[in-house]
Amino acid sequence: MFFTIKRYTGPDQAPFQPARWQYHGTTRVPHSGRRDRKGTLYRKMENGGGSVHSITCGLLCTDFPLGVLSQIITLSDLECDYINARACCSKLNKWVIPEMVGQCLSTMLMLVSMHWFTFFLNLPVAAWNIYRYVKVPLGNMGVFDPTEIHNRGQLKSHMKEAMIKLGYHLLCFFIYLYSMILALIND
Amino acid sequence: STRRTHPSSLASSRPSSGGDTSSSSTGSASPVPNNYDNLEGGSYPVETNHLLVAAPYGSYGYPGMPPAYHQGPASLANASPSHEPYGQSGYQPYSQPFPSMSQLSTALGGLSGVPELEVEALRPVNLLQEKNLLPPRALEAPEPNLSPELRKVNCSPQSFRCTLTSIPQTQALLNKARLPLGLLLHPFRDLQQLPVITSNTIVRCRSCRTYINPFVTFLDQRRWKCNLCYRVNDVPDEFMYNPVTRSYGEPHKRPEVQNATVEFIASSDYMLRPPQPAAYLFVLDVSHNAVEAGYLKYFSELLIDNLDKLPGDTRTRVGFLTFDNTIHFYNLQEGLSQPQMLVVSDIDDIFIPSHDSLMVNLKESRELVKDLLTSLPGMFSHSKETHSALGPALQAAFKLMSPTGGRVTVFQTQLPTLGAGSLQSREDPNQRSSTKGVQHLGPATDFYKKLALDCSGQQIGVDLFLLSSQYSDLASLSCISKYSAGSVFYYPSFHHTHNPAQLEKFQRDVERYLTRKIGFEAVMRIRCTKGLSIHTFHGNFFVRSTDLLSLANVNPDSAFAVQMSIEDSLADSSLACFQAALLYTSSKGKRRIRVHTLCLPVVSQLSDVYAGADVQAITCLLADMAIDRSLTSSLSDARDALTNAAVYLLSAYKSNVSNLQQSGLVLPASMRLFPVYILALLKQKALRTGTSTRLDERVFAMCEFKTQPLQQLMRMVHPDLYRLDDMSDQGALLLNHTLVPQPHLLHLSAERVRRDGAFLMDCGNVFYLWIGKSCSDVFIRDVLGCSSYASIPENMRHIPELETVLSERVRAFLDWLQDKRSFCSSVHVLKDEASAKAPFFQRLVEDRSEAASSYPDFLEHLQQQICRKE
Repeated sequence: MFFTIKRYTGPDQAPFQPARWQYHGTTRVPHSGRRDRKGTLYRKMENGGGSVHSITCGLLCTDFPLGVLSQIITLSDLECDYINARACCSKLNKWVIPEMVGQCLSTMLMLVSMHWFTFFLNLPVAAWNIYRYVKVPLGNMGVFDPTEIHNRGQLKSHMKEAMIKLGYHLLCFFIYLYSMILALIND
Repeated sequence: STRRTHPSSLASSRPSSGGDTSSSSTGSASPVPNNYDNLEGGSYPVETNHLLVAAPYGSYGYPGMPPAYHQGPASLANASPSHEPYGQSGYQPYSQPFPSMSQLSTALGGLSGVPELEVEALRPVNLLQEKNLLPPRALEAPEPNLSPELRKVNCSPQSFRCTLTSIPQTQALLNKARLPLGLLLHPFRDLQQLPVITSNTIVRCRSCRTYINPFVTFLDQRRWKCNLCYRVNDVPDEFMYNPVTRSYGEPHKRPEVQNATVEFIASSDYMLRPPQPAAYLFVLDVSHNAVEAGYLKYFSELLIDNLDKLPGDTRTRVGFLTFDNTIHFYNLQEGLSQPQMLVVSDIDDIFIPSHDSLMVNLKESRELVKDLLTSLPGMFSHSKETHSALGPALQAAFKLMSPTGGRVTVFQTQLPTLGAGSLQSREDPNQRSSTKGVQHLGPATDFYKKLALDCSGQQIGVDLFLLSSQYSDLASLSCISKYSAGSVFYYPSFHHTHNPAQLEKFQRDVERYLTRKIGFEAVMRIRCTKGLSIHTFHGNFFVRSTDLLSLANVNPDSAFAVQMSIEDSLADSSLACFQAALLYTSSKGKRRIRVHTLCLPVVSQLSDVYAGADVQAITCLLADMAIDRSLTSSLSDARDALTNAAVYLLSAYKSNVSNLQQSGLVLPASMRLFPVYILALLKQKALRTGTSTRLDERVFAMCEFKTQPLQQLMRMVHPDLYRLDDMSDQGALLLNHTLVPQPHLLHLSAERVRRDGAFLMDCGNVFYLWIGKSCSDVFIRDVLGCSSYASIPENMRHIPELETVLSERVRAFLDWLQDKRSFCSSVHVLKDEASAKAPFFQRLVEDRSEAASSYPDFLEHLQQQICRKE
């Protein structure tokens, strides 16, 4: 239901891409279980081809919720006056690029492994992250600008954005977890 | 989220950030021990043997009293027997200045019966029919609809003004009214009189840290209820003594409770470090371009003349730094026979050549400073260096000033081209009069912003004087002042001989600049009644946390504005209060807190909201919002938003309040000038399109909008026009034995200006006196001292002091106008000639100009827009 199901049958599928193409769409095992990135990666690791990818991705998808959570905490610290705007923004800006790169990376991985559902789930978030990075005016000190953050309800909208992201990442996290467990069971 | 509930509960235990006490980073998240209790006026150890805390009152119980206290003065007499323990002087006259809320609201209810003011403010005005909208005299701020006692003590509208003098109860009502809610503050303005209070304990609310003010409620003699958060606080013992009347037991008669504007001398609890000496660093551009412009000579002369008037005490420190493609420091150490120049040519990695001799004590090194200033203009007169390393010079200034903080004054004459912060020309001269949109209104680099924030952190304010004839990217450069709470001055096409008008303005500004009051290491916090919150700030400062503005320097000429929203319904209270507390170090090294409190009624009817609308304040706030919009979105968006503000107001009023089914454009009388002001805004340099406007001038006009106080800004936007040649003594004011005639205000339209008259236009920092071609010779002779129209000189800049009735009248009127402002405005006499009259006729905003419509056309446009919306 969620994904096109792909099965990798053995370690002898050395040429990575063709094999996947071959299996994609040809071997459909209805209701034998869903796999997502984790599951796929797990297999790929066996293949010896994508161990680096898997580690990055595994780290990423657990790190996202934590990262966003720390973002929310920093923002609410600012709201509550525990931290000044400058410190808050430099803290938050540090994470803008890693977050963007990570999100793009995982989206790319989804694309490469042709997990269309998760790909399309990740795409808008990646696009948004790139958009807001590109749209920063020349004179601003990053996505979070200490001189602007208290104006025009920016703090609130950043907070809202972070909350939505948190929800999204948690959802993704559980989808991945679920798929990974399914993949493990199926093996 | 749960974290949001923290501030109120933690504020009292974290005074370093809850109060105005912090002047540097408040980053620490660990709670500070609650050692401020003594300051806050709470938790006083009960001294059992104290005279006042006698047995029956030990628990502050007032057994038979509370009803009496809530009833107010009338029933106090009944309760007087229980006052005996306080003695005769203590309690008897205890009539609460502003009793409990319930009582206030009844008082208000009685007032809002049919007060004349309100009825007049609500009179529907059909803009298409009524042609004379201006009041006879300059528009005053509307009086809030409060009881006379409250009105008497309320904060002066010049310091503190709200766009709506009747606060709507809910955000829904505010949205319905289609008016912005905001405050305009001018907290540090020069005041004629100011109660200064020296007291060990500064009484503040324990939970929200509000300073005690005239609008708090005394529940009984030992307890007061905060008017912002409604917490009940104890009155500290010291507060029971009134130093003015030298009597005990009259907390409600203390100056803090009698004045809405007070200044406290703060104790060491309000300092993070000992007060620093006043420190002034002058950073001067000495490149070829600067030498050509020739400002250095005039600056040096002015500074030498005003050395003694620089605000400060015996510790005052000064320093100088000049730059072209290198940075030059000046060793002025006492004992040297002449100033020593140190040149640092490594601008990529700037360092300070000597640490203790560059910023010197003015008193000790006075002669050396004078020597330097005398020789400076000559030193660089042959400079051929065209480059400017402004960025590195600012970095050097930052390093030099970091230990003490203070004021850095930068004079720049061109685009910085070397080192960090160098800029490129971004202006396309062909686009100056484009109607499409204006590019490059924002900064090109974050260098100046970052440096400004660093400066702000070290309590350094940077003021920028830009004197250039070429594009200098003020949009980027102004950031250095914008975020370090400095001021920006701009003199386009400055040249010491070719442009005497600019030179005169420069001299006047510098003189005022050098001698005006200054506050260092300042922070300002704006608190408002629970339910209201600030969401946008306008002005030059850095917003360090949700309501704390960090001001490295504060000067009496800059103003601030904030926009507010109503988060929770204000239905519980009949009054809304706002308090701005400015904590600063005076130039004499004293830590002071200036507190302004404004009290306004809360209303639930839309008509009441309109009745209390302050059209000038609304215009100024909208101007600020439009500037923001043009930076974040585009200029045309900002212009549309302004027009829409008028359209929405007109249609909101039509559909909600006016029950008259009349066609046309109807507004309440309080807002009748709104469309005129909006049209005037659209024709300002900052927001106009279609008329050739240099980018720097536009950006400067935007900076002015953000920082000028309301009166000044309104005169810039919509100058006051008077006819002077037919003034009579009718309705004149008698001030100090001189009669000040009061001519009527005229609409800014050429049809009001007659050839046979003389008209005065008051634009804030300049008066234009326009003399018509067929103006009577008597006026010309008696006032200007010239025989006829033809003999009036081209560049006449003053009104001669003649012993004629007419001259005395004109001068009395001009002096009266001048008296109300802190700076000196110049007078330009203009003849009715093509070249000379331009500045006068440009400001007649109700007329059609080359690219903008006239007032009747604008009204027609509004009407079309409304029809389209319906």
